[in-house]
Amino acid sequence: MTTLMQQNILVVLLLLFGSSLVPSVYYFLMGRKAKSGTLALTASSLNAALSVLLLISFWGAPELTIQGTWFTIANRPFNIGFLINKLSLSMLSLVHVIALPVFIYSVGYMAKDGRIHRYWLYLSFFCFSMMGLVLSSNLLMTYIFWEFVGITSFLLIGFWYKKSAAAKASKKAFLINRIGDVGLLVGLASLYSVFGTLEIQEIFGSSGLLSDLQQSTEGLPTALTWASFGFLIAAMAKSAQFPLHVWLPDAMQGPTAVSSLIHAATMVAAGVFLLCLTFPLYSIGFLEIVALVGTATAFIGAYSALQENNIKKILAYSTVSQLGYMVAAVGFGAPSAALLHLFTHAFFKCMLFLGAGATIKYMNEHTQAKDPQDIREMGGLKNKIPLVFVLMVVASFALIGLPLTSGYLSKEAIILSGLASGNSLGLLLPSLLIITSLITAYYVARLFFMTFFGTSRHESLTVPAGGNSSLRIMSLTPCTLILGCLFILFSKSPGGFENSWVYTILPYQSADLKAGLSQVLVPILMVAGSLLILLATYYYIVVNRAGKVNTIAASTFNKVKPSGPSLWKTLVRNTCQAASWLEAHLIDGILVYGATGLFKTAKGVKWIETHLIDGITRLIASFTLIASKTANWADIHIVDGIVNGTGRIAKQTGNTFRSQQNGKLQHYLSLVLFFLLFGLIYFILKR
Amino acid sequence: MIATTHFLVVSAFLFCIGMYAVLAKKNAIMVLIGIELMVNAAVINLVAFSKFDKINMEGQITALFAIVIAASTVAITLSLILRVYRYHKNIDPNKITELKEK
Amino acid sequence: MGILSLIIFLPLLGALIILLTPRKFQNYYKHIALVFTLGQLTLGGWLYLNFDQTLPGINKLSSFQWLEKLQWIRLDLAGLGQLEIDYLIGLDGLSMPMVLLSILIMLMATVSSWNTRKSTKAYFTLLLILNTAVIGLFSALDFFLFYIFYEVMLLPLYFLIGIWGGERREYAAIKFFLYTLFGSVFMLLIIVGLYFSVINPETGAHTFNMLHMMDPLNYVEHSFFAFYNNDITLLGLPIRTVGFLVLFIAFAIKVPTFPLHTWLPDAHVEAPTPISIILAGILLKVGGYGILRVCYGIFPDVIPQVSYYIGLIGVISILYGALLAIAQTHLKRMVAYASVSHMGFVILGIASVTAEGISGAIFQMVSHGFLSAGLFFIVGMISDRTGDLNIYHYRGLASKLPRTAVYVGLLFFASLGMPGFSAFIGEAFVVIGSFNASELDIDLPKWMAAAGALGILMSAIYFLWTYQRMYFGGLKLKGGKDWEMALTEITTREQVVLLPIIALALILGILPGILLDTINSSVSQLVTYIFSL
Repeated sequence: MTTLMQQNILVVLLLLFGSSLVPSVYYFLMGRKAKSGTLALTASSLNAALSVLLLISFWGAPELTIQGTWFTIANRPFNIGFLINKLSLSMLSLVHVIALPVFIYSVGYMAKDGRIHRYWLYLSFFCFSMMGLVLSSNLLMTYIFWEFVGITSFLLIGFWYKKSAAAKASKKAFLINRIGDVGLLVGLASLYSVFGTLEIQEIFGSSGLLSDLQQSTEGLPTALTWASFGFLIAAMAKSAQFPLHVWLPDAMQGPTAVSSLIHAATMVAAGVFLLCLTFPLYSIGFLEIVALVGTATAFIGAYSALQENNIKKILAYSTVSQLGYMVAAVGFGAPSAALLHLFTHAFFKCMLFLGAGATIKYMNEHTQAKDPQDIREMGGLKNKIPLVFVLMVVASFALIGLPLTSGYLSKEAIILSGLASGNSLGLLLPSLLIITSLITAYYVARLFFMTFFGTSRHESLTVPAGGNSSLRIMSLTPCTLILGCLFILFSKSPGGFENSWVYTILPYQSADLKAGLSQVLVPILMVAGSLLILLATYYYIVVNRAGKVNTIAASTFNKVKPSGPSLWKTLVRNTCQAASWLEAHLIDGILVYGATGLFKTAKGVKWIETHLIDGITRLIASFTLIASKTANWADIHIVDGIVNGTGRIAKQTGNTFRSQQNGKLQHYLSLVLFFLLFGLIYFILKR
Repeated sequence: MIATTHFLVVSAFLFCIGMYAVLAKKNAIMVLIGIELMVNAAVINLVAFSKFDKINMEGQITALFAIVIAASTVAITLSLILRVYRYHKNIDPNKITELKEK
Repeated sequence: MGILSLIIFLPLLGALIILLTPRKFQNYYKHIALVFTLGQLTLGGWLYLNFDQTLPGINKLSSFQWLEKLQWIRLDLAGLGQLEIDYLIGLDGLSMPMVLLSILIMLMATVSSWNTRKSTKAYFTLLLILNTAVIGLFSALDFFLFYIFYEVMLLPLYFLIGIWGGERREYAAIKFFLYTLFGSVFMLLIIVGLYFSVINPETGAHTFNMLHMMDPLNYVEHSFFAFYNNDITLLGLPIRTVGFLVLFIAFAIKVPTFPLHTWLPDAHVEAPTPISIILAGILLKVGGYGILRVCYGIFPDVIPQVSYYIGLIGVISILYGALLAIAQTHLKRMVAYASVSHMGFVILGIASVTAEGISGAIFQMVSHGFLSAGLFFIVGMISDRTGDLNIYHYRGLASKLPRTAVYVGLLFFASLGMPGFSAFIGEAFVVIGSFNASELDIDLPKWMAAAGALGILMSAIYFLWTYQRMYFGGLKLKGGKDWEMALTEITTREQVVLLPIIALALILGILPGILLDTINSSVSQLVTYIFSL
């Protein structure tokens, strides 16, 4: 690598950092005077262009570290620096490419907010922090920016701080993220105690200190186990893994644009990014724990989404579930698959959220719905907001994982690597993931059909002129992300995830996928199952609810015109009737009971979710509170009590003697006499 | 035969009476009288013990000294009591508690 | 007279001038105090700029800077040899930041006492005397001199709390006084013991020179605190361990650590705002500084045996203080207990005996110095306006006082260890150092380091909770309309105090090298010195 290139990259990086930091500083200093988001938008466009340019021009070049000493402690330098490789640059581009439409979208979404200057400040600062997080060359910097993103997330969730739900949600998010921060701190401190450095490249590099240690015959120090668990906890908190996922659904109190960027596409993926970054650290046994955590999260997240009626919360649970997939992929020893899913998910989930935001905005401004986020209030929006409908279709298909979409690519990658991983739990985890993916199909379909199909439940209101312009921005901008929902952006063939460019990012060798039956069967099973569920849900929600026609067979029957000989007619009629009966009693029965059953269990899961998991959080909270109250009591009555008690004893002794000093001379004399006699008697007796 | 012991017993009685007066009397003059009794008890002792010093008679001389000094202290003390009475309108030692902390 | 002496005694001159100025001019006392503190700051700044960061100090007299040595007391004690007390002052990387911090905090306290009405003459005189004592303490290298400054420091504080304090001021003042005296009386015993055990190699006389006490060769054989072959025990403990512990207790009271911390909340709650600032900003640092300079310097051989317990005390202080802070409903008490928790990090870092941990501890001391000063200043701002500090009596202040809310938010986030602010570097390196310790055969288990990290989480809980409770949500005040009138936006004078604090926290957080470079060689020297024995 020539120094010239190094300098060029440094200049570009500084430009990138500058263009994120300048708006933050500007909006901070200007305060209310800065209303327009022009500066933030310009900076964001610049960032997106520059980062993509950097990625493309750098692609294929050897890894590069640019760093300078930040400070030293006892001859050990702590650096400030950037690690330039495929991973960091592609993450950087992802963040900025997704951020750009979100910024534009925000212009429409936040149009009437009085504190919009703060909004731009936080959002720009978020981009800055995320950039630092993915580019940092040592773990200390990673940690610093890791906390920064947590803080911006806190600020943005609580953006409408006067709403007490938002204030509470932001507090919850911050505190749970802090658990992760503590984990990360413990992790990096443990690594430092072993290696004496925090440079990512020196530790995790292909010939780094870690691989030296792993190849040496001595046993690995326990500090590495501490580090593994620390990083896992960090990732679990940031990436909302069970049971630390409770903050993410609540985080939906923030503005929807924020949810799409921070709580769906980029920040929550930071945990997965961390796991990929530190992948060489994890032992096989530890990876199984990771896989278990991921799978459990995927399953529980999907199940919780079933019962939700709030459109944003459904998507939030879906995010939890998809993040579970990514973590599970890391656990299966396939960080590349995790990264692929991270990329694809970022695109389609961001689109889903932006679409949901537009839908909510429509419901809010054009109808009298009590709760504009409730999908039960929606319906028939297909014709009202067609553009949103189209992009939701594409994004939903990607989320379900239908062929040709990017979601298909990455989900297949994860499940197949799960089958090939040789996990000690055997087929349990991959099959759970397959089931999860079917559940995903169901809740997405439910959300989708209930929102856009059927009849509208509210009359449209006429909106004053100009009211639609923001809605137009909000439905147009997400369309720029559609490319990311299709396989083309990631791979040349619709099923060839192994040839994807994402697979060349990480230097680690992924497990060899056996070209076996499962390679063919699993995707077919998943796609067929998903399609079936889609159809069934369509039928169950749209057709059935519409009340027009009872069964598909019956409708076919009605369409068949009686013509030809009567025998043929009877035959057709009888077959149709039989089919109709079958359908009504069997298929419908299965569907209805199945769906009801699913719903009931989902209710149960939700109960567990709210009462047990969240309950545990609350229990810990109240435990802390009780502990603090107890400590306070002990402090006042015991610790301070001892002190005050000593004082009191001294005082009372003093008082006892003081009462003898009453000013009466004769009393004094008697005392003198008494003690003289006492002494005299004592000496006489002693002798 | 009157032995030294008898003098000492009388002196002890006198001292105790004086002590009682000092500790218990509600009138400063009576307290003063008590003090005088105690001084005189000491003087008796001095005279009695001077029997063992027949050449210099130091005991008796000291006793003479003591009597003179006692007379002058009585004069001073009486004047003090007079001052106290003028100031406090009272010469009961139990009622005058200036020494007590406020 | 050297420049260091000038810095020490300049405030005393100011105090004299205030005393001599007739009461007619009593409105100008604060100006006199301010001028002298500003002069001190100028000199201190000059000192810092000309400070040679490569000289280690610690146990090498020659590498101390601005060294001044005057023979002070020389007494021939016949059989006991000669009494040798020197006026010996000097700075190294350990004391330089403390001196500068003290000057800054004193300036801050002077500015924040601008509105003091009650007998200003005495107030500013005492403030300036306190100033002299504190700076003298941090630069004294003779144990006797150190002790004198240590005691002189007590007196003005006692009166400042006892006269200008709140409702229960006398209780608080006496409690504070007795606590500290309890520690220092026993410290005096150890000092005397050390005096009879150590000999000045140059003159052969017994000495109070701390640097002579740091050299094992200067100890008289079979003396009380003899370094080698010492079989003397007290209460079943080797005498040198006892010496370490007694000194440690004396300083731990100052820090304060569990279970010696109960004077702190009372003193803070009753003390007027400027005194709270001084208490939190400087007084607590005396403890940490004393442990490093005196306990670690003079009894380095004891450290391996006690590091576990020191670490334990640190961890308990962190968690216990944090728990107590969560339970408080009184804002000032909350901040006071937060101090206990944050100073626990100092103890934990010191217990790690690693360069990282000790650097982190010093960093934490400095950072806590002005951050807690800022916190108490904010508390003072609220109590100036309404006189009520119950957290539950306020809600939604952010919509009424947006600018104040930004300041408070910044300070709270800086205090809870947000990166970019100074507290983060301190706390992170304490944790890193204490993890490191376990790999270096220092008796400090990993769980303590992890528990320390947990303290960072808990500090988030109480600061965030308080902030959310008082500043978020809709405006609701217990005092109703009166309070709404009284709660005015932050004034210029208040901003003048708060802005430098936040700027300092930010600068030290972004460029920690400013401080770390200053202390680096001294810390390395201390660690090497400890491990060389």
